Parts: sequence; structure tokens; C-alpha cells
Amino acid sequence: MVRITSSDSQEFSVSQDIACQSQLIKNMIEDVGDADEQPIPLPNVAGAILQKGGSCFPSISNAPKLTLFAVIEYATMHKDDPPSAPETDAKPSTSEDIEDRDKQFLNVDQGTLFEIILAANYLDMKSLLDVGCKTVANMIKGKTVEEVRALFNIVNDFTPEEEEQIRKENEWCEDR
Amino acid sequence: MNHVRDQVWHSPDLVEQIFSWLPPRSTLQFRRLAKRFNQYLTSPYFTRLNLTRCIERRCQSFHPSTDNILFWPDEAKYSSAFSQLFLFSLRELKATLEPVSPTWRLRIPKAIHHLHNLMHLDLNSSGLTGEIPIELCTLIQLEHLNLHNNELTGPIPIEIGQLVQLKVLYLGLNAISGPIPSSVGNLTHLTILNLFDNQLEGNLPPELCNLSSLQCLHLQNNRIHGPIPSEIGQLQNLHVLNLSKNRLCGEIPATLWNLTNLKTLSLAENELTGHVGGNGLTRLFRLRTIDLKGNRFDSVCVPGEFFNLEHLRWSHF
Repeated sequence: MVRITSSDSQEFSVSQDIACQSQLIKNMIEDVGDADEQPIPLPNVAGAILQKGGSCFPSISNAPKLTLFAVIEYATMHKDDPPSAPETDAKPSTSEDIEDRDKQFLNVDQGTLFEIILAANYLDMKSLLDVGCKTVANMIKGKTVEEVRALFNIVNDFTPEEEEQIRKENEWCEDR
Repeated sequence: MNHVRDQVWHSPDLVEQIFSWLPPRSTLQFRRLAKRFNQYLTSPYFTRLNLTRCIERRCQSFHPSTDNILFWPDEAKYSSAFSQLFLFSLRELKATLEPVSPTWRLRIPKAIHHLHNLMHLDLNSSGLTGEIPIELCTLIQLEHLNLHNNELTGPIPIEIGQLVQLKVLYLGLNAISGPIPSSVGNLTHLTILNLFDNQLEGNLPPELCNLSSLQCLHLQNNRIHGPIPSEIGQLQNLHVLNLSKNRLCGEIPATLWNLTNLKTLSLAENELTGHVGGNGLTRLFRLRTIDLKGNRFDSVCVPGEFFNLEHLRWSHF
């Protein structure tokens, strides 16, 4: 078993095959040696996630723990998956290619979804990062630029002239 | 929640990861979201990631509907990445293209040079505009180049002389201007040279007469002036010679009557002078059609036996 501690000092015990779905944790275990014999300094990892999360949710103290909990839940769900092919050999897929169980798992509010993406990116969990990004891509798909700005609260920092310039450059591929 | 979102949207890597799952055409639209999106979504890394994720391409042939990314404007960067990733081994590209939108003027992409195995390029009647890019002239394996019936402008690049494997060159029915480059004389495997219905000017370069394999030479309806070079007699394999509707002047060189394989000869509507007739004409015993009308000949005297030539169907003097 591997111990992971979130920054709010919540400790999780997970089996090594689950923990090792995080390339980051896997590398750390390999660096340290046999995980059974000596404790892995994973609190640092969790702390780092927490540091990110902590600054995001100053008023909700257990959010980082929830994120970590969610990530572990995902890793447990996928522990028997075959190892993924390297990117170069991977078959092309679309944002629609999401397993039902993952769809259900990621059926969360926008904030949590983005938290999970950040955690997956930090922990280097490629499959979770991919489904997370596909989920956001599906939210973007079919929407106008203005709608996407509104959905994610993105501030348009172009001058009207700059924006018009890009609009012109893209005129050829605007929808008919 | 805004902090988390900002963290994601400020990470080039995560923005690229998310948008790479969208169809390439729609990602271009989202350049307009904000400055950093414009920056991230135009990076070469993103373009390649987006293409490898979204494009399924197993076949070795070219499909105009899905592969038209090659013809996206060079500025969009997809054309270059797409050809490098998926088309570099293509040997044959035959397509009649249709533009994606009415505002899109199709051009021959500079990225075409990545298709260095190409032997056969046929984009006739595809509404192509703009000039023939020099990059096209790096495809030295090309044997067949057909850009017939487009809206191409500008000159024939001098570099066309590098395409020494060319057997067939169709550039007819365009708006190509400037001279016929003398480097065309390097294309010694050419059997068909079609440059008709353009705005070519200048003289007929004598080097053209090095093309000893040439069977068809269509230069009609251009603005070519000056004399017909006497070296024309070297084109011994010529079946069709059409130089009509130009501004050629001087006399028809006597060597032209040595082209005994000619089946079609048209020099109509030029400014040719001198005397036509004599025994030279009757040496072209394979002729089916001959048209010399609309010139400024001093005299035309066709021997009666000429009209008895076995294959002659149509003659106009």
C-alpha cells in the first residue's frame, strides 16, 4: 500500500497499482525503491496539489481532499485497463470517444472538472487528462466564440481592430 | 472556481490539450477568444497534436473531401503540418476540388513540396487562383502535371526546368502570363505540352525544339510573337502543332515541312508572311487537318496533288 496525504492532512491508503497510474507517483516510488519497506514521501505530492487547490478554494477546506479522492476513485475504476499505447501509435479518436463510466464520473460541476484536469496534469495521469480535456472540448463544440467566452468567463483582451484582423484571416473557413 | 479556470486557461499545455480534441477547422475560430488563445492555438506543436488526434488517415490515396486541409491557406499552418504528417508518401494526387466556402479562393499550397514522392499531380478544373508556386518545381519525381482549366495567373516559374521526369504538362486554359521559360527545353521526356488559352508572351524559345520526344504542342491563343524558330524541324515526333491565334511573324521555316509525322498543323491567325506552297506541303503525307488562314502571306499556292493526300480531311488556307 502507498500512503498519500492531502494538504489538509487527510491520509489515503491506496494499493500500488492504483497509485502508479500517476506517472509522477510511479517515478517517485521507483526513485525511492520498494514501497513496502519504507514510506514514500508522497505527502509532498499531495501537498503540492493541495497548494494549488488550497489557493483556489480558501473557504472550502475539504476541496483538495475531494479532488484527490476523486482521482483515486478514477484510478481504482481503471486499475485493470491495459496500458495505453504511446501517442504515436494511438488511433485517432474524437472528443465523443468517452467511456460511459468516465462520462458519469466527469458529470460534475465546472469547477470540479477543472480541478480534476489540473490534478491529472500534475500527477501525470494521461488517460484521466484526456477524458477531462475531451469533456471540456465537448462543452466548447458547436458554440460560438462569444458563447465560449461567456461559459468560461474568458475576458476578450483584443482591441476591436485586432479581433477583426483574425476574423478576416479566418473568413475562408467561417461556416456557410 | 474562477481561480481554477484561470489556472487551466493560462496553461499553454492544457489549452492545447483541450482544443486539440476539436475538429481542426473549428479550432481556427477560437483564436479569437483572447490573445493567449490566439498564441497557443497557432503554435506548430498544437497544429500537429490537433491533426494527429482528429484525422484518421490510413489510405494511401488522396480524398478531396477529407484531405483538402492541404489546400488551406498557408497562413493557417495546417497545410504544411498535414502534408508532412499524412501525405509525404503520396505518389498520385488527382482531384477536382471544391472550395469549402464562397470566400475561399483556392491556391496551390506552398506545402506541396512536402509531397516529394509525387509522380502524378492532376488538379484540373479546380478553380485554383494565384501563381504557380516555385515549391511545386521541387517535386522532381513528377511525370504528369495537369493544372488545366483553372484561374492561375503570373508566370511559369523558370524552375519548371527542374522537373526533368515530366512527360505531360497541361497548363492550358488559365491566365498565365510572361514568357515561355527557355528552361522548358530541359524537359526532354515531354510528349505533351499544352499551354494554350493563356496570356503568354515573348518569343518561342529555340530551346523548345530540344524536346525531341514531343508529340503534341498546343500553344494556341496566347500573345507569342516573333518568328517560328527554324529548329522546329528537330521535333521529329510531333503529331500536333498548334500555334494559332498568336502574333507570330516572319516566314514559315522550310524545316517545318520536315515534320513528316504531323497529323494536325495550325498556324492560323498570326502575322506570318512569305510564300506558302510548293512541294514542302506534300511531304506532310500524314496530315488530317491543316489551317493556315488569317495570316499575311504574300502568296499561297497549294499544289493540286496536296489535296489528294490520303488522310487529309480538312484544309484551310
